[in-house]
Amino acid sequence: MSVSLLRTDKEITEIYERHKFTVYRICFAYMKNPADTEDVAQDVFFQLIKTNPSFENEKHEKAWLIRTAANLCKNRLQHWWRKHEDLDDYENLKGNDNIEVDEIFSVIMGLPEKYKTVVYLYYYEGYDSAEISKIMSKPPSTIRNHLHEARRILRDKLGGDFYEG
Amino acid sequence: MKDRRIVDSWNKVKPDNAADTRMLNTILARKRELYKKEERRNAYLICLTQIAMFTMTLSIVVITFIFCPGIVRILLISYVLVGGLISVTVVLLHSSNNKIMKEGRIYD
Repeated sequence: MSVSLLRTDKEITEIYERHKFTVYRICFAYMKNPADTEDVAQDVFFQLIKTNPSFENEKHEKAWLIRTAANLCKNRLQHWWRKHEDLDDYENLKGNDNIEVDEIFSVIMGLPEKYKTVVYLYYYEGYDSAEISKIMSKPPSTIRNHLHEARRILRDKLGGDFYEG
Repeated sequence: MKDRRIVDSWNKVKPDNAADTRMLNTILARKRELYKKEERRNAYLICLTQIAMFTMTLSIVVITFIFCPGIVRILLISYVLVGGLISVTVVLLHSSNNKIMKEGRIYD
């Protein structure tokens, strides 16, 4: 793993290629539109360059990027000038990009931010609740509760159980 | 297996090719800008250190010359001058090594 003081263009490109989709999806979960997502995703990688942390392995690197992405998105959404877009705003933007919107995606995008990230990390990235709690620096019980709530919302709106199995 | 529908729906979220290239180029451009800024700041700090060392050495030499008599004066001045010379050489060597290392890494 890279522990150099200054990362080269090649190293940065490799890290970007390894984690661009994960970072992009985490940012999209918060920002809900491609333009803002792009901005924040760039900021996440720039933060990596600026703070220049050393990673033990790729898993650690990925966890750091996920955490930073979530924090940067929260910071941006808390800006005084920023208004939260709701699902309708997102629906209005869907024609401007290549992201296909179906029913389940609309429901996922409509979940509260704290649930959305957890759902993504659990279902898509395959982390368990203990790992998510470490990444998000929250107690495992909170993560389990978020997952439970998210599943309940998904079940209510879409049917099915959304449990493993 | 975890619910396939959720995985499929997240699969649709990804940057298109143009956005992907744009993001990477912006990140690399910002990186180069940051490193250049840091390099300039380091050069400035090294310059300040050298000036401080020179001033300190000169002050000690002048004070010694005024207040210490005979052989003590000569010994002290020689000691301070040699020490100052070594310190400046070390700083210069360090700064040139640092510059070579950075240039090698930034522009490779």
